[in-house]
Amino acid sequence: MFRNVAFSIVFHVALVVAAYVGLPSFNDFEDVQDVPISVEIVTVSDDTNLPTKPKEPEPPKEEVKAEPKPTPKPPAPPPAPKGSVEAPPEPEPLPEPEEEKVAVIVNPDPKPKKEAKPKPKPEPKEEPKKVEAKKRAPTPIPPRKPKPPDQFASVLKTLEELKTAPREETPKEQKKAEPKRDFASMMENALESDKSRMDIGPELTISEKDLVRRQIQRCWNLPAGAKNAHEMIISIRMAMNPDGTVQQARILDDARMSTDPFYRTMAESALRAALNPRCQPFKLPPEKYQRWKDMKLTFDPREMLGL
Amino acid sequence: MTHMNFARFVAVFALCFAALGTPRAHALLEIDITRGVAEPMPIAVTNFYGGGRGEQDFGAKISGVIAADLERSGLFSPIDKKAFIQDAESLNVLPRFGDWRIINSQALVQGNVEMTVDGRLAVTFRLWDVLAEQQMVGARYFTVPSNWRRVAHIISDSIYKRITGEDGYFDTRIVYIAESGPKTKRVKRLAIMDQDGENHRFLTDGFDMVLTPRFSPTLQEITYLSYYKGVPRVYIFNIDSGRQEVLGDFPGMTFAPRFSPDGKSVIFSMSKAGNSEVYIMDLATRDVRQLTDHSAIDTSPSMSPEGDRVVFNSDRSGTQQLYVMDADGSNVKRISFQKGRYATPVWSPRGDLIAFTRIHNGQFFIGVMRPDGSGERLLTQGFLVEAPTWSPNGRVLMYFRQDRTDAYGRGGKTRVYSIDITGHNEREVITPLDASDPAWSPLIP
Repeated sequence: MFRNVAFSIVFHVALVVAAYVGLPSFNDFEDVQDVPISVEIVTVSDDTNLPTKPKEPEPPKEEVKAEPKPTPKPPAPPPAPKGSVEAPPEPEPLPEPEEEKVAVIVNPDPKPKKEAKPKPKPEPKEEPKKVEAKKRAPTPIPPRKPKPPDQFASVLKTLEELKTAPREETPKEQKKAEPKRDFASMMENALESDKSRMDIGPELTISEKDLVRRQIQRCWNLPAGAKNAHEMIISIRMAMNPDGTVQQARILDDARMSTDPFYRTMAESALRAALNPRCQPFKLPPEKYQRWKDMKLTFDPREMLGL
Repeated sequence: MTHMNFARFVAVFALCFAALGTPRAHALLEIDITRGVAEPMPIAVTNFYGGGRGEQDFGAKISGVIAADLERSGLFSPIDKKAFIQDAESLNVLPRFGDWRIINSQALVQGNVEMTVDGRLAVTFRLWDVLAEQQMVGARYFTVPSNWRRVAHIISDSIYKRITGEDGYFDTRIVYIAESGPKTKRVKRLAIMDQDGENHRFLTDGFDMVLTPRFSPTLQEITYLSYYKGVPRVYIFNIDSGRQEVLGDFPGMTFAPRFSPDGKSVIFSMSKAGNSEVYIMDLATRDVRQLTDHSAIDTSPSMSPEGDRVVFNSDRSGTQQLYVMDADGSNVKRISFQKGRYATPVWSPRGDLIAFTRIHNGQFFIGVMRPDGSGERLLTQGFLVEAPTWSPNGRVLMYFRQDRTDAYGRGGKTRVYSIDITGHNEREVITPLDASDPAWSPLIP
């Protein structure tokens, strides 16, 4: 019996090691796949709306994301690992976390946001009011989303929408700010969160990430009319200088660059957004440099194309 | 027991991940960018360098045409040359990218012109990615000096293709119906010009009325409808040779011709005894096949770029709507379901969209939808907007727009416009006379 178990463990470990070491792009791929789980996004944006920039906002965030519905307890690092094992893959729990969160922090109607701004937030970031009810994730945002469509400026124009508002990039748009936690990193966090915290300091807050996101979005000039533009998701890996400028950036998934000219176009537009000096230096907290000296941007045009 | 084992298993599992994951997953900041802008790309088009006076002139003219082409596409905004820091001569050696980044240029077009000993022009160009500091494309062309304009268009196409990922459409022509004279006695002539309005000329004398010109997708040939001696018939006109021939003598009236995507057939409608059906004729064998057979009016056929399907227009449901069928006439499906009537469907050469005219509440619209009828978008509207035609890359539509006439029959200006399929960048195509029924050529071979 024990032998069997031992064998089993050895083989599993071997398998995991092989998969981990042998498939270098595994991580990236997984990220891309996970993107459609847009629910977390909503949660995040709520947070962002809160002007507060608390010292340690993120631990709770992770938790909320990690655990499904059963445990609404926000601050509990320990449960995370267990929950994580089953939670991340399933997209279902979306609405719930949202609700909890709403109940706790954000009120359903837009105005409260303003008043909810008791603690002065240092940077005058424009307020990211509305969360968009994208087609992609229509369910999660039931109550507080009265103003739907023109908000997101689709780059594709159609006359009906024209009447209201053509295109323009409005600020709101929050997407998942939270880097996605895969199994490995959850384990890592659980097992040695203390150590890593020590090493590289506190994580970036969601507001801080949002700020950068918005900076880059201003510089992403995407080829809106390209064929199948909605099927292309581009990842860019960047090495950052401590002053917030980009030292180096490259497109991940080079293979498709040479075979698909439309993909190359989309990828190059993303690279230009990352490199454009107009949008740099990124407004990142210098004291957390260790946290952002290595960045990965995922460019997803689907929302822009109204899909 | 099992619990224990499981727990142990998980622990080992976790440890192994932790050990492996630590070095890699350390503090990678991930951010999703889901929003961007769609605005013209700032591009610096410099005067092509020339050693001598004449070469410099050509260099400036070529660069002017390229900048105009790119600007007209709506996807680029050429930067004012006055802002340039680096001069053409040093640029001819190597770009100083910092100089171009400062003026917010993302791409840089540079080149030179030489006169060869046999009196031809040698035009070299390079496109640079200013931010990535790399050459994106470069080429050299030889031509007779009088052909400089075409070289400029070809270079524009090359730049467009490299940056957008799709073929350009600048080295193309437009054929259209030039209209003049009073409404009651309108003279309609077939006319042709370059895509930018240059090199305009008339192809017919205006003695017989002509309508619905259509370019062959493969050759410099036009099919159109002419009322020669009062009988409407489909003709084919070869631009290079100037030869004109009737498509065939049919018992009924033929109209709404279009080439198949391979250029080897013409699909059209023919009306017999008050009922019109869709036919296709093989140009080599002159074999004619009937594709539709319905008591309703079936007309305005247009084939998909693969040639396997046909979109057409029928009133079999009671009002004019769009239908798609297989190329053999089977499997007919209605695809238009919004309010109003639909007409003049045209399948995009890219295959992803069908352009159409929609008439609703007395207004005309030009719109696009996917071949399955989904994703309908209306791009423009007017008192009368009609006859969409695709650029060969399927990215731009041209159509004509007619203003309302006043009570005395004045006004009614008719002009050709182009619009991007995103719905932006609508502009008039300048023509010397009133213009209708535009048709876009393929890239000139």
